[in-house]
Amino acid sequence: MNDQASNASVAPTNVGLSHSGHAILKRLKEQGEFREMADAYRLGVVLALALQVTPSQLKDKVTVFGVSTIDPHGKLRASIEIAYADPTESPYRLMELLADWGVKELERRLGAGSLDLRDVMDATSA
Amino acid sequence: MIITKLQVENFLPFGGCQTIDLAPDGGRPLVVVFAPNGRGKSSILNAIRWGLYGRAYRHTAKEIGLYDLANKEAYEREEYEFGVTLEFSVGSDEYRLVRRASPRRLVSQPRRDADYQVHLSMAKNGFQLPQDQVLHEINQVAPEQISRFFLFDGELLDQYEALLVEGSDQGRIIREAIERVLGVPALVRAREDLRLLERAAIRDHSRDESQMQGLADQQARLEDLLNDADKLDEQSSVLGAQIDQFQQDLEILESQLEGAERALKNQADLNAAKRASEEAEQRLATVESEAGEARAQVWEDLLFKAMKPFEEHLAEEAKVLMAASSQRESISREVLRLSKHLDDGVCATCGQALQIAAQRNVQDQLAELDREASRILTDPVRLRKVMGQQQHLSQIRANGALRILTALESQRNTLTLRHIELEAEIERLQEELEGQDTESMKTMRTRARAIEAEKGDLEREKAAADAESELKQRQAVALRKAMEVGTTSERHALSRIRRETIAKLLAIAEATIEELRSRLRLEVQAHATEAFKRMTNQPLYDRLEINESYGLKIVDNRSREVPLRSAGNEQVVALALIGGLHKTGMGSGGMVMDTPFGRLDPDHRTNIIQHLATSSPQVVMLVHEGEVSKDFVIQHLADFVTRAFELKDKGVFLTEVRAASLGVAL
Repeated sequence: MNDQASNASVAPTNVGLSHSGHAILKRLKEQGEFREMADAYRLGVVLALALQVTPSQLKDKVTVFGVSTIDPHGKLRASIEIAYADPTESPYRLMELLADWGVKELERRLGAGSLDLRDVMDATSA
Repeated sequence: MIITKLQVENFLPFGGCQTIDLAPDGGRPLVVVFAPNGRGKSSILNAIRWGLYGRAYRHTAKEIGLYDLANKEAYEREEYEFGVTLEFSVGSDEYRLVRRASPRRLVSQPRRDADYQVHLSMAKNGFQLPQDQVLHEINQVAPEQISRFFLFDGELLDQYEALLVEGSDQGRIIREAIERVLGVPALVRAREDLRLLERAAIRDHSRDESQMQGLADQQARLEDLLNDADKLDEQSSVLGAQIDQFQQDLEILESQLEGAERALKNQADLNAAKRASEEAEQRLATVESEAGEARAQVWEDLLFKAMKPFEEHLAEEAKVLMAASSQRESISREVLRLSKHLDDGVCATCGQALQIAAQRNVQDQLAELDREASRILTDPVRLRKVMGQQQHLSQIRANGALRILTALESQRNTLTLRHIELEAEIERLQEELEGQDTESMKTMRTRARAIEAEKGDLEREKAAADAESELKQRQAVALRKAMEVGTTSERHALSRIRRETIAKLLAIAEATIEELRSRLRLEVQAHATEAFKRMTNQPLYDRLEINESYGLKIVDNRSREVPLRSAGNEQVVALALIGGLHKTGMGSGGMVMDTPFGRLDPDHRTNIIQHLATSSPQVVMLVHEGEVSKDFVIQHLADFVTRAFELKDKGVFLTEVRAASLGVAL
């Protein structure tokens, strides 16, 4: 916990996700679903945040993006801080967990034929 | 014509209304009117002439106008109307003729001929004739052209000489008039009618002949028409065979093309499907590209919506924290103010020194404020954090990417489905087209179109040939009908016979006319000669010889023409002609003779009068006593005179007709 607290106090400069999550990112890009992996990464984060999922810890991790690439204006970080008011976890570490879950959810939805975010909208409206 | 009564009213010298009874009585044909010169003998002749023909003449043969015909005595009495009434008979018909002249309307006193109007009326056997028939009737019973032969004016003998001039107009007119009276015009009219008939017959015959000629032409034309029709039918038949052949070729091609059409349609469908598939792919790629763009942006749109509840919650928390902070600051300011009063010992309101009680009261207030302040919870750190988070959230904006992405994904799904369908269609069409040679089919279709066009041309050509053939047929039928209905050789023969018959009749009529004329002339000549020989006292005169104009020449006993006739002879010849005409055909008409014997010696006079008295049914002699004296009448003509009149002078312009006494019983 202390490590985590210390990690929270030091702002990370890179973010990533699990290897499997990374592989999904690659596929989504290769399949043309997203132009850039960063686009899928951000959408994965927001999808998880919107659905207020409680992500589990990553079994492995691969750093993929710089923070300045993924969240140049700090909007994701601020939103995570507000939505997940957990002072013990760094928002960017939390972002990685959310991204990993979200990317996998994106692949699942696209595999069904469409991203179809209407249910996500319905959930946030409720 | 026998004049039975003459009535004159204010006419020439006859004032008032006067009547002369001229009717012959049985075997007494003579009526003698005695009058010296200038008393009105010629006026009686003029009265008869004017009554019949509307003309009166002076001795100079100059016509007398209406104004001068009016009796001057009556005129002076302002009796301007004058007239003549004639009663006469022709055969068994009785006539009453009235001719009157009266001033025109609005003419109070006539001063010239034009101031008069003339009215003519005539009754036949007591019945008034229509106005338009009066002149015709007069012309029938007493033609004006031969009036000189019954209205004899001894002073105008030269008129008779005109008959001797062959070919003169006057002679021709007189001859025609004579012939009309003698009955020649009936034959002349017959000849004219026959000429008309002959002209019509010639025209008919010529037409028939031309038709006969035309018949041969028409026959040739008919043959031509029928031959043309045969040729056209043959041409039509050949064309029909060609059309049938083309039709068979077309049917074969069409049966082949029936399958080819389907293949060609499949080919066309395949091409269309491929094009549609390509278009769908392109559109899908575009949609995918746009969707990629939307997906890159959609995270912020989705984040905006996801953070909305948090934003509202933060706003509420900030509001509470800011209210507590404000309340705490207000209490702090009051505590500071009261503490200053206590420290200064002076009332801030009135500036007087605080009393002990007042100081205690302030202390109580301070204690109360302290308690109140302790109850107010403030968290400035939290407030600053909340406000910072609000600021972060305010930077997150909805960009509509989610809506766009949803629409694009819907499009993509549709396009994908369509593309799949097109691909399936393409695959099916390709399978169907497998083994088909569409190029040869196109050639086949082109060939079929060419045959169809050529067949169309042939059909039009055949239709034209059929129409032409039908036309020729109709023309041939019409021509044949015309030939049947029209002239036949029998009709032609009939028209020829008719023409020839009429020509013969015409020749007969012409010959008859000439024969009749010749006979009439010879008859007139014979009667005139007989009369002449009775009247003349020259034994060497053998006969009179008549010419074409009924002019008579004296021929002596040696068959020589007597070239110069004396005035007396002239008168005798004229009277002989009159007698000859009367005997030949003018019928038993009467005569009115004005001064007939002026140029004759007594022997001739006696001969003539006796001849006239025995040859005419009526002779009215207007004489002066120098010509024929009353004694002469009594002595030589007593048996022939019915009655005698005298014209008596009653004034310069007035003559009265009176019965004359011959001293014997008439």
